[in-house]
Amino acid sequence: MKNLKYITIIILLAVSASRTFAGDKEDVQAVLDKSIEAFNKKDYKTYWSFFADDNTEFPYVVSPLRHDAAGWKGFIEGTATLAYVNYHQQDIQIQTYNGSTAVVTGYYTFTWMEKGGQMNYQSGRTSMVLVKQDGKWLTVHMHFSKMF
Amino acid sequence: MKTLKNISFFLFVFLALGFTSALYAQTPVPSAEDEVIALTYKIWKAEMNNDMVGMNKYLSDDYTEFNPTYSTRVDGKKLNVSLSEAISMNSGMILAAEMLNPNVQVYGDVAILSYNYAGVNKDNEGKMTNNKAKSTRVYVKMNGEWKLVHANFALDPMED
Repeated sequence: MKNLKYITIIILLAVSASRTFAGDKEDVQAVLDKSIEAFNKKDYKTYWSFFADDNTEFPYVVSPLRHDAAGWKGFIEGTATLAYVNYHQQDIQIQTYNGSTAVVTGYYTFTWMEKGGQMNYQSGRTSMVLVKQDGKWLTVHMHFSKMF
Repeated sequence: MKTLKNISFFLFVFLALGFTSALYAQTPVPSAEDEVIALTYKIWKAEMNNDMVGMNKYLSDDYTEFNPTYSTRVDGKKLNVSLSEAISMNSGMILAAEMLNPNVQVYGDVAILSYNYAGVNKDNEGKMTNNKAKSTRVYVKMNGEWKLVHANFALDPMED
């Protein structure tokens, strides 16, 4: 009877722990989904709310690292002039560490239409790092590169 | 006389302690930034010496990598080690490996190192090539040691 109690407690702790870790990945996925939705709707205020102030980026077509989102901000908000944008991520994998860091990797497609009606398409690989600050997952680094 | 001896002893201990603490104060503690940059050069040195064990021992078990050789992500230390060991058998020599514009972001036990890679290789026929890339490495401190959990090694966009 005593053993049964211990086993029950261990099982409950294990279930609780697995839920905690699964929760991190789900939370990160939710942030990614909201961030992408905000970008596609051109809601830049919401989009930037998912970024840390010191975020950095390796864009697809540029060699140097973008610091503090200055160049990245220009690029993102420059898409406001386009008639249509659609960013999509797929085959995402999320690695989490210590409940406060997530490495997200996957593949993306970016489709946009210019005001004249010309359609453009880009696809590639992406690595992202998110950290939990004050209880909120924020993107601190993104790396976009072409498919080989 | 005994009092003088006691004073001399305490003076000696006081000076010795002061000297030791001064030594400690002068020993610079490497920052996380310095550590991950130094570790990356250590990994490159192992690769240049074809020391695959030394090169791969800093990978975490769940390490993932994007590289220019394969289109899709390579998952897990075991698979990455297996491929890198096979590639090393006929890959010539790395003559130089440097990082340009290194940037390190540190968040607790996590360090993100981003840089533009500049390297010089010599193949088995003696042909020299210059390599350039944009790279991201994500290190996590596990049991007091930095482990590489993810890397994105992408060709420089200007390579096209």
